[in-house]
Amino acid sequence: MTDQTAVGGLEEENRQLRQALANRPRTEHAVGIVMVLLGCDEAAAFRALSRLSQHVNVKVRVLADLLVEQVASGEEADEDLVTVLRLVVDGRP
Amino acid sequence: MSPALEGAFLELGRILLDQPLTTVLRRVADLAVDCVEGADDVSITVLRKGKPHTVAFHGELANDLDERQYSLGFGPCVAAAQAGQTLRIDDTADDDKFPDFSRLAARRGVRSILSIGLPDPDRSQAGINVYSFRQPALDGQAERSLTLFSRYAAVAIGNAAAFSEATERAEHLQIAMQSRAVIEQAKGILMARYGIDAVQAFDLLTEQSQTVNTKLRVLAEQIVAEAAR
Repeated sequence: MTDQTAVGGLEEENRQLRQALANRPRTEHAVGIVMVLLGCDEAAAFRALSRLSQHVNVKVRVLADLLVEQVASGEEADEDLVTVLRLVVDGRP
Repeated sequence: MSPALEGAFLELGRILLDQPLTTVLRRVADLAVDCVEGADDVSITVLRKGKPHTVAFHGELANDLDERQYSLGFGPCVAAAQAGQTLRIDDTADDDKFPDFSRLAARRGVRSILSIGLPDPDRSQAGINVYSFRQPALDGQAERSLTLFSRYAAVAIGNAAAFSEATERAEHLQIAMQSRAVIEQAKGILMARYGIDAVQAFDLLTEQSQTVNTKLRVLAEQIVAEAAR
């Protein structure tokens, strides 16, 4: 490893970490919300979110925004969405 | 230029960044012994937040004498690192610059001392200190050699320090992310439970944290663990 690539690699890692840190809150809010909706632990909640994200080809961040918007306004979370999340978390399609 | 200096320059230019800073500094101290005529012990002083620390040394006595200067609050290595200048004590038995410290050094067998500040005061305040048991020892030639050596060493030390700082920052960010995740998850749980937004959830969390006198992070961990049950 040359010095230049070593430093470049670290700079890139720091950039990505900062980006992830900036996107993190919304996703983690959604994880907490899914935990309550499904009554599951955080690993399962995250799994549900990322599987749904793959199935419908929508970024986790966008799904998270949707969920956060729904519950934060005091609405009940969309029933269909909860059903789908429950389905994907169990490993069924 | 002496063969020792030439060899040292070649090696300093090749020092790789992805090794621990302490290894680089220790190697710089070892190289200085070879490069400076009359050098017996060598140490490197770095000022952090104005406080001097010996970060590497060749020879236990150099470390010892540095520490004595730090507790006295003055001495050639402190002055050199602070001001980036050169301080030479030709004879510790007859010195009026740092008489107290020189007497102390003389009792330990050190006859002359040479300290040079590293010429990069913006990036770091540091100095290289050379101690000699011989007399006459550290002369004008030794000073020229150490001056030249320290200019090259400063670059190697500066790069290694920058690299180690970047590595540390990356580690801190990782820790920050981990600790933040659980707080954000707890907020999400409160949001879903009470139909509130992220700001209200955070207020609720801090309020509870004060009421039950528990750290925010610990409380968040509890909320997440309970919800997962």
